[in-house]
Amino acid sequence: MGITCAFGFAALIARANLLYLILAMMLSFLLCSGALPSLTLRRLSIRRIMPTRVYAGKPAPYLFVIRNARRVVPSYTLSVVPPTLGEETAGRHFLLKLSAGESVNIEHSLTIKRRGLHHLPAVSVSTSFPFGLFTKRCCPTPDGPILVLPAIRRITAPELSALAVTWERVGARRDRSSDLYNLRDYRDGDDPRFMHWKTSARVGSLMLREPETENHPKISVVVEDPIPGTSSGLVEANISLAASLAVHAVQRGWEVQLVLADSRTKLGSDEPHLDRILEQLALYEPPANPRPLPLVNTAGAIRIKLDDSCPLRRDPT
Amino acid sequence: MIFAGMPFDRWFKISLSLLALDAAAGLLATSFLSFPVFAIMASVLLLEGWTDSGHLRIARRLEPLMPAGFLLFLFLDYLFLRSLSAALTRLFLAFLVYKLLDLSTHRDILWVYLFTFILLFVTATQTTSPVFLGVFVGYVALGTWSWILFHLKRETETALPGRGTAALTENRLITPRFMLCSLGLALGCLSVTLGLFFMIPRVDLASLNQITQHSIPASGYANRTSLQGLGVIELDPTVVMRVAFPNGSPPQEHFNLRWRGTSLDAFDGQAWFQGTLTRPVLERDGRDFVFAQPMTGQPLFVQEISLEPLSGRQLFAAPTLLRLQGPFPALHFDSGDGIVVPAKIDRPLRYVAVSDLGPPRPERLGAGDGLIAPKISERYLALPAVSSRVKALAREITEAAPTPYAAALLIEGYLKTQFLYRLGVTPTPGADPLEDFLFTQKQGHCEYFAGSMAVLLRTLGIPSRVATGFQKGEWNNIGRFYTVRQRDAHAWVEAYFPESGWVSFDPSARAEGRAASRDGWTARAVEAFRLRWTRYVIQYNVGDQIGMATSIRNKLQEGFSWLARGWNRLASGTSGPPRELAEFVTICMAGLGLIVWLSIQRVIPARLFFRRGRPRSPVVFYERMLRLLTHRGYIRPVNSTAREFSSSLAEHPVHEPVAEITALYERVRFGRELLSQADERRAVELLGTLRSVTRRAAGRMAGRR
Repeated sequence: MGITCAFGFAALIARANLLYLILAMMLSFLLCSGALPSLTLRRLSIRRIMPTRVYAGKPAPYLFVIRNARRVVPSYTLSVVPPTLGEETAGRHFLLKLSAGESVNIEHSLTIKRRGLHHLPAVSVSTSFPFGLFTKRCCPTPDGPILVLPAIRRITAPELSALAVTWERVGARRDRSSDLYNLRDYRDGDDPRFMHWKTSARVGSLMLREPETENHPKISVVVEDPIPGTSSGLVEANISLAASLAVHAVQRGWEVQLVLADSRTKLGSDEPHLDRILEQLALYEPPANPRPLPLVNTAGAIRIKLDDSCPLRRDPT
Repeated sequence: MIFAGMPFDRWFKISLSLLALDAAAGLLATSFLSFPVFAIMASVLLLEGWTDSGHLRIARRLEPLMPAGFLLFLFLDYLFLRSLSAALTRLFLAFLVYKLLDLSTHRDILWVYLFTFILLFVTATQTTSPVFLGVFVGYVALGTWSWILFHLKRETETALPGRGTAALTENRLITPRFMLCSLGLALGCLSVTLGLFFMIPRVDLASLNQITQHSIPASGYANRTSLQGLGVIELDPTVVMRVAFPNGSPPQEHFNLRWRGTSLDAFDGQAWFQGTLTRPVLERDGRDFVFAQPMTGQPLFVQEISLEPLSGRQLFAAPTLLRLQGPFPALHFDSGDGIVVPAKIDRPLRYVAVSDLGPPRPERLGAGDGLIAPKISERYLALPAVSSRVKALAREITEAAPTPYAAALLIEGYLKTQFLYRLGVTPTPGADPLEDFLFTQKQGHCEYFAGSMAVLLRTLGIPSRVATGFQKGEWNNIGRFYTVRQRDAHAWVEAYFPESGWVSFDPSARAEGRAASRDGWTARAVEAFRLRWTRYVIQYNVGDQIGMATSIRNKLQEGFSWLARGWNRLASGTSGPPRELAEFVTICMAGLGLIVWLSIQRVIPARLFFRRGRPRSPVVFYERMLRLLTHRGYIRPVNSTAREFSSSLAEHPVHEPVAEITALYERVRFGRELLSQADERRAVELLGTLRSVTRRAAGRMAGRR
């Protein structure tokens, strides 16, 4: 810019048209340098593919997929800076050429220390192509917030003992599992898939197989609000414990229910149900004053006091 | 094959070498560089660039001696040529070659760019030749390509230290498409350059053109001419000026068109020369210099004259010159009624002259009392002792002439028909030049004819003088202008008649100019280009900018008026010229088609012109819902069905509207039911509900934090 201004002054003083021509050339290069980087970044799309679950304090590997949606023109010398949170230093990825229609995957890892909803900054993509005089940066539309689940840790045996949670076979019940429990006559409305044809052929009438069922313990994880002034570290640790308990239970096929002061999930043992529990724990914010808990009408409720350093306490019900 | 096999670095070196050669080639148009030196430089650079062997590099142990070597080179060069600017330019050239042979760092490459730019700058200040345009275009094209490669190289080597070169080669960047894109970018830069060149404001009416060291020596006209073979017209094809006609081509009847310089009024028996030289300053009327008023009543003749640098001060125009407009602080008459500038013409000049070409009114010729003003008769009737034979000849020729004008015509005709035009006539030793021509040789060049006729007229008491200048020259039908060369120099006679003033006569039997150019098509095209180059680039000034802006404004106004007329005609249903109406409709349809095409190509957003109606497909509703939820943090996993996603939101406040929209989506998408208007309205309501629910939920979450 300085050279151009000096040259413009010289052309003005000399009033020579060929110097004006060279000045016009310099200005045109400057203009093109300012406009072309924007065109290089145009129609670049960035998509972030996160893992299914992101846990606090645990590195979460994810992918950036950068795609050049143009049909003919490639993009050159792209500098991609993934988003960072806090003091994390950003790595820089350099793409020399991204052809038209081509996609590139960039792996990156992110560690978020705290649970909850986090809005990651957008990815920064910059280039100074073609002349390197100006750098243009674009930040495509940021993806939605990331829900960081509470940290999950292993439940130790002493903790399990403290809970006195044991699995007992309290008797088989009729259900649709695979082990045979009983044979009976077929009744209207029974599932014909459980027809026992051998016995039916032998007996001469339709016989239905009744399978055995496992005994699924039901656990209610009841989280009590902390008293004001409780350290956040203690609260987080206890929330982590509650989440770890829920994961431990679901992994063993137990039915788990989360009870908070203002909400309660249903009993369930599948992955979507676990996700709901973990989401609620991730979004839980201690209130200003502890709230009363609702009545829990299930056997085996585990109360976790968030302000207690020994939080586990089994409900005597 | 060539694109696939060559390493990136070699491409880059070749581009740099070509750029340097282009910048050096510009110096060939000046006196700073000779062709043999340029050829050696080209061979060295291209060989090194192609082979990339490094054999031509200066040895490392000699590098400390290079600064002293360059200084010595500068000293010797200056000593030899006595031109500091030339010596410095060649020093930069030597720097350039030295750096090109040893490109170690990015800084070396930047030095190369700087030196090439300096050479281009020097060329621009030293020449006005159209050759510069070729150098300039080449510089832009090669510079664009080279700079792009440099950018790729620098960025890659900075981002990938140690692996940059390999990455550049592996990616196979240099492809035919890449080269085409570079060329396209260069063309774009050139277009912008041209636009900026014409728009950058100039600060003076008269652009200061480059001073040229090569003025054309005055020949063919002078303030002294001899009848003894001196002042011989050289057969020199050097172009003296070009004359174009802003108001259209000259009328065909003016085949005797001439460009008058000055006149010679004194004859000493051997030569014609100008008498007392006076310098009265000419009057200025606004921007014009005014010389005379129209007398013949004929349409005035406008000439745009591009004059090359001459060693004299004379300006030229068709007689009778009335007005003149140009970059002159002042103008003077000389004693021959010629126009001179105060200083030597050492640069190309462009000016506009207005002349009255009309013949003298017949009723004025020969009429009146024949009284001639003393200042005319004293000056233009003066003669040395002339032999009685010459006087008798004059009387004999004009015996039957009833008027002085008729007498002049008779003398003109006599010389034209009875004498031969010929160059290089050897005079008779010892003879009077005038008598030798009139009675012995009866052949000679135009100065003989003009000088003799002027003497004959003076012997009859008709004031006369020898006018000098140029014949009209060669007509260039490509550029539509006359090219006037040295060899077109000419002399003719002006005779004075009371009530009519000075009237021109041409007694020379020389061919009346060359109506058509003898040059081939290429030469004429080059000549036309040269004129355009000088007119629109070298001499472009603020007056031209004002004219261009005015012209654009007028054309825009005409265009809008035309559109308005066409629209009014269509709207009112009145009929008009069918062709104009067809043009209007065609242009509107073409404009609409262009907008549609640009919208399809996503160059411009379609929503600017085409409003999107309410979506009728349930899939669109569902996609809108997904976008809304994604924006609020509810992201549907890729492996999740619509119903599963809806179920996963069971515990969330968005569940109800999501479930209903999902049900609607499934019913239409998979159940093949059509979306009724009620369903459509319901979907819109649900989306609105969803929006407000998510907004409230987001607000609550923000409040908690």
